[in-house]
Amino acid sequence: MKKRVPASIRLLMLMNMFGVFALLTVSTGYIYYSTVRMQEVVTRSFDEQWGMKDMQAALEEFQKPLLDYLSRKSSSALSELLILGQRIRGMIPAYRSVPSDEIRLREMETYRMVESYLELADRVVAEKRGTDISGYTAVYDEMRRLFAVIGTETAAIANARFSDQLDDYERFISVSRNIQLWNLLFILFVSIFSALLISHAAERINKPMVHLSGMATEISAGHFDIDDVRPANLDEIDHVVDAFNRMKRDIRSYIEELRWQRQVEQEYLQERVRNMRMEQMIKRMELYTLQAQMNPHFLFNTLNTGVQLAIVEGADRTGEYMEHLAALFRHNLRDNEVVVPLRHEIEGLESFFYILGVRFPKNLDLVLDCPEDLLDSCRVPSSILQPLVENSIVHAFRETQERKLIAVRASRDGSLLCLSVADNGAGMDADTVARLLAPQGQEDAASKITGLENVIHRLRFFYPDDPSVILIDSSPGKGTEIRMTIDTEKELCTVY
Amino acid sequence: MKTGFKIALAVSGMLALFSLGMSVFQVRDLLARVNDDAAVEGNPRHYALYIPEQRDSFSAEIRSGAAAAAAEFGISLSVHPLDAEGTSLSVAGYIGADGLVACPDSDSPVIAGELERLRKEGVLVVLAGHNLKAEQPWPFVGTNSFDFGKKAGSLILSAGQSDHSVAVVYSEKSPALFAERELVEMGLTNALRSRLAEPVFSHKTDLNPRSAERTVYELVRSRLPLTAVVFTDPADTIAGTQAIIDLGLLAQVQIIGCGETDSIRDYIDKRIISGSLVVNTEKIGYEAVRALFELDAVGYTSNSVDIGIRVLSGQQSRDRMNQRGD
Repeated sequence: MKKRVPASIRLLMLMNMFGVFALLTVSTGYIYYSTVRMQEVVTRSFDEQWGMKDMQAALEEFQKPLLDYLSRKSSSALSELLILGQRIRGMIPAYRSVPSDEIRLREMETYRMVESYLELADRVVAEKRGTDISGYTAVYDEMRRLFAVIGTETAAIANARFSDQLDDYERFISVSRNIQLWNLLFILFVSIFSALLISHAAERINKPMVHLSGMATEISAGHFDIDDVRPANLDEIDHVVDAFNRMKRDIRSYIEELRWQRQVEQEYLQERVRNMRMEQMIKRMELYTLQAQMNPHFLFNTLNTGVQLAIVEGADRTGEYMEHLAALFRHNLRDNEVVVPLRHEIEGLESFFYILGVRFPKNLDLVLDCPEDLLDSCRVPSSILQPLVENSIVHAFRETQERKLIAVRASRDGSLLCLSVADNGAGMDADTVARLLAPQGQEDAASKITGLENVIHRLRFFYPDDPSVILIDSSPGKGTEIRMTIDTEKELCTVY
Repeated sequence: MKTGFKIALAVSGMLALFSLGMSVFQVRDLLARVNDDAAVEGNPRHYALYIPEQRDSFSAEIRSGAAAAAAEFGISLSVHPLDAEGTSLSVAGYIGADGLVACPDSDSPVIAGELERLRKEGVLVVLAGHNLKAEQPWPFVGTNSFDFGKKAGSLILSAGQSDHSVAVVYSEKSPALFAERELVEMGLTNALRSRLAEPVFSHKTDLNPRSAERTVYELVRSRLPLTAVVFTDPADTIAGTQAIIDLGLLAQVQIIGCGETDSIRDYIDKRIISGSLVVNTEKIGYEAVRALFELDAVGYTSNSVDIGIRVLSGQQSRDRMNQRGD
């Protein structure tokens, strides 16, 4: 692509102005030149005739001093005669060859006659001086005859030339009309050409300004994604275009930065809200824990006393029951660790199952299916199984008289540990399930939290990026299965 | 739009250049024409032709022939009227001519004197078809008038009559024949000999092309029975023949014409005119200039140049018609 050389508006205007000025000057100059040359042609055609006329006038003037001298032998007349004779000789053109044109030939003959006349004049003066009366008289007669013929010839030549010039004049007029017509057309087309040049220059200056105006309108409407204005190859306008394009890009990047900042702020606020909710949840969990751990040491010590009493009295079954109950309390009173081995959860659950078995010996079936190899290899958040079993006991079988089943199962799929707590209780409707699984903070902070809610909230807290960490599969009359899928290779999120 | 603009710019530019070019061409053409007129090459020699003032066919043909010879030999030829007073001839020595050809139409002693004066001044002079007595030793170019008479007589004899009464109509329009009228009549007499019933008589017409008509009437009134009329000028031939036709004398008067025009050829084709004697006047002018050129170049030329006379007869006309397949 051809690269154009940038120029300034001033240079462009100067170039156009001088270009048009030069064109008009050349055209006007040419017309002046052609007019002058045509005038020269006309003048030249009269030049020869003026020469003849001047010479005839000089010859007429020559007669008086000649006659004066012949009459009175006046020295002043002789002097004048010599001067005039010299002047007339100066008027006679030099012929290098004999003209072939008829009029010019007659003209040359006339000049020859004038030369002869002047020679006769010299002779007549000489014979007058020598007082040769008959001689100078005869020569003077000859001169008079010759003078008459010269006059006749001069007039005849003028007539012939006039006749000849009539034809020439007709040709000249015809040609000069053609020249004037072509000159007129030349001026016309040069004017059109100049007007187009000026129009082109104006368009070149105006076009980027119009483009800039359009761009300004677009930008004022908030459209910053439009293309840059193209350079006009005019320095001044290109500077404006460059500044405009730069301004457009700066505004666009500034606005993008503002948007980014706004987004960051929104994200920050969202995170902060989440943290606040998390704090609120923790406080509720702590409350729950406190509720669940009401004076646990007193109960634990009392249960140990009961166990010793049962042993002393020989009530083995009571002693065993009390021992499992104490183990359950001891399990719950352990250090408040966030993550524990799966074994810890399963052992606690076994004690709980024993107690439940004693409480509901006839209509409750409890299943605990956990492969041995998972117990020490997997770590899970603490207290996630027992609350769910407790939740089933408290809520699922409240109004049912059928045989109850609670099954806790553990399995592994790659790095995923799958835990499920299923019952064949009353089940929950979809709204209840949705409410339970809804994001944190929707529930009333003052309401009492259930074991299921506690587990859901904690798992969501520990695994914020994994919404499927806990799922509920339940429908009214069909029982409930709560499935937890924990990535054992993933660190728990414990930072607010 | 942009393309249209460029096309408009290019078209207007080209039209402007074209107009300028045409204008420049016209101006140059005009100047060149003027310069050409001024720069016409001249000739090294200069001759002057003095012919009678009257612009009749004789003068025109002499002038035409002389101009042709001048162009051929590279000579500038000026033409001057030859008046009976010899005014123009009197200044011929002052015009700077290298030689002159004179065709005096009258036997003027003034003209003869001027010519003599010029000869003495060393000016080269050649006479062509003149009226002067040819006593001076000037080179002469023209026709053999005796031969003219003889050929006219032969044409008269071809009619087969025995006793002839012949009239010759001379003319100021053919001064050369009139100048040597005795020779013409001698030729006639020589050709007709004993068949001539009475001596040849003559008449002279002036420069008026119709003057022969009046002359024929006068001849018929005064000279009947006339058997043949010999004209010495083409215009007289046409006018005189018309007069004879008008008088109803075609059956008894034989017409011998002079010259070769369409009308004369037509008359011959129709056997109104027995024949015509054609003198090539243009050749006289040509030969006069050629003789002067020779005299100027080598110092001498033939004393007499006979141009010759051609006979245009009825037989020739018939032969020509046969050739055309008429």
